[in-house]
Amino acid sequence: MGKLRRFKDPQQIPGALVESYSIGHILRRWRSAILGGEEKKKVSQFPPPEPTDKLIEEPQITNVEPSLDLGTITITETWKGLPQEIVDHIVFMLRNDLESLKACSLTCKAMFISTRHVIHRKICLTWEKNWDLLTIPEKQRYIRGERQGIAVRVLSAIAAHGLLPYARHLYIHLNRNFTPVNLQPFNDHFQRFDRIQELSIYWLHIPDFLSGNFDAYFPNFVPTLRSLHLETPTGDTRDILDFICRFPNLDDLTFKMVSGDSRDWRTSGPLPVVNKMPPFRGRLKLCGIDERCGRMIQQLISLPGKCHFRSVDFRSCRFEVEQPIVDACSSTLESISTTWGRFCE
Amino acid sequence: MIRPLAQSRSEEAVDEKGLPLDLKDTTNLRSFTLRVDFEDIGYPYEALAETFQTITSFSFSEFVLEVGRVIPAREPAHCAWKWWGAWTELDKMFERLDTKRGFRVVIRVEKLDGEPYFFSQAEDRLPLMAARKGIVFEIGPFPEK
Repeated sequence: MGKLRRFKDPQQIPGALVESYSIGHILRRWRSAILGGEEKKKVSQFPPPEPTDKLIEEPQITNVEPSLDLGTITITETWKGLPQEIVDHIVFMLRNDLESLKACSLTCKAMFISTRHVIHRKICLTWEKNWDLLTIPEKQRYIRGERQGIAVRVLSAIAAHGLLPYARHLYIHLNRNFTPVNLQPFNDHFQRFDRIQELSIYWLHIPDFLSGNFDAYFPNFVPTLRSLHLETPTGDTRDILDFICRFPNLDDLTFKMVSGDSRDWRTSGPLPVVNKMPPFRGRLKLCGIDERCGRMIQQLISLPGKCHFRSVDFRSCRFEVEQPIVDACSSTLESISTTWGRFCE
Repeated sequence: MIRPLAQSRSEEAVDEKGLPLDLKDTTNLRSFTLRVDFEDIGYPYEALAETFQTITSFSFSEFVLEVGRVIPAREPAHCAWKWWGAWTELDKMFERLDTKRGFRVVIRVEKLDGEPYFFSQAEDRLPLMAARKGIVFEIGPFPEK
């Protein structure tokens, strides 16, 4: 008994004699510590705690290695014993720490279920992930440019894991493969993204997805989309404005261009007729915007309906772009960010 | 007027600058953020002063300076003028704002090797705000990058 009390840290003494506790016992003690004395009565469903004297007098003594042997240990308790509110609070605190969330999700079913919707909140459809899923013959086809049926294969894999309903933020970076032709074989899966609040698309040839194709591919995004990020979109400025205004609940808008990207933009015909201007009550972020793209943004925020952006973030934009946009949103702007010189991100 | 040593390196960046802005109509402006590379930190003070003079918003209470790129690790504080230029002029403006309605300057760096030196430089160039404990230093990733 005396020996046991002296060896406070058995890991410092190889082969030390230590008591073995089950995980359930440790969790019971932990839960008692968290929930306090009142909850102890509710724990009566578990075997009554052994008297302290017995624990000291008749310890189950084994000679163990410093590391825990998970292969032989008996698990008598799980996270199910903890109130759901505590589990949810733990998950909430870890919401920005993906690695910790993944580690938690492996501990038990309760944590797996609680963390799943947070871990898979953002889904990335990238060409790298898609490439990893292809077989060698498919990769050869891909290289030859015959990409129909394989360019968005990643969507099938995500659907097979049942992750589509959890997505709230969809990031699409398939290079120039995100076209109606390539998406069509997987459109059933794509339509299951019905709760997306944030949509980021790298390279989108917008005219391809307008007219009838918009209703074929994007109707599920219309009710819930709050934030749209377009990186190097291509097409007519009129089409780009038209595309943006088809999401009636948009609050945040991001345009990211590489200098000179808009040189191929054309401006043809009058501005689109907009039935309902998005509210635009959030953040306007403009990266690398030149004069031509800046004019399009000005056209956008001068469309019928008032622009309510509360925050404007200019990153490496031409000077001529900034002042007119600030003026257009001046009544509601609370925060302005800008860069000086060639600030590199 | 003290010109920073970094001026020559910034010449070609001039045509991309976003300042000064006329903010007289932004009546609800609360915060203004400027992102600048460390080597250009002494450069925008005139344009900043010009911009701040146009602000009429009564809720304007925060200036955030996000400093990017590499910061020299062993730059003694007494050399701060080389990098910071005439920020003391801005310091007086910040102090006036702080006296009127409460104001703070947030200096945010993503990563740097010699932060005590950099922070002491900042306090050296903004002595009035430093005395009023109106400077907040932050190290970490820039938000919403």
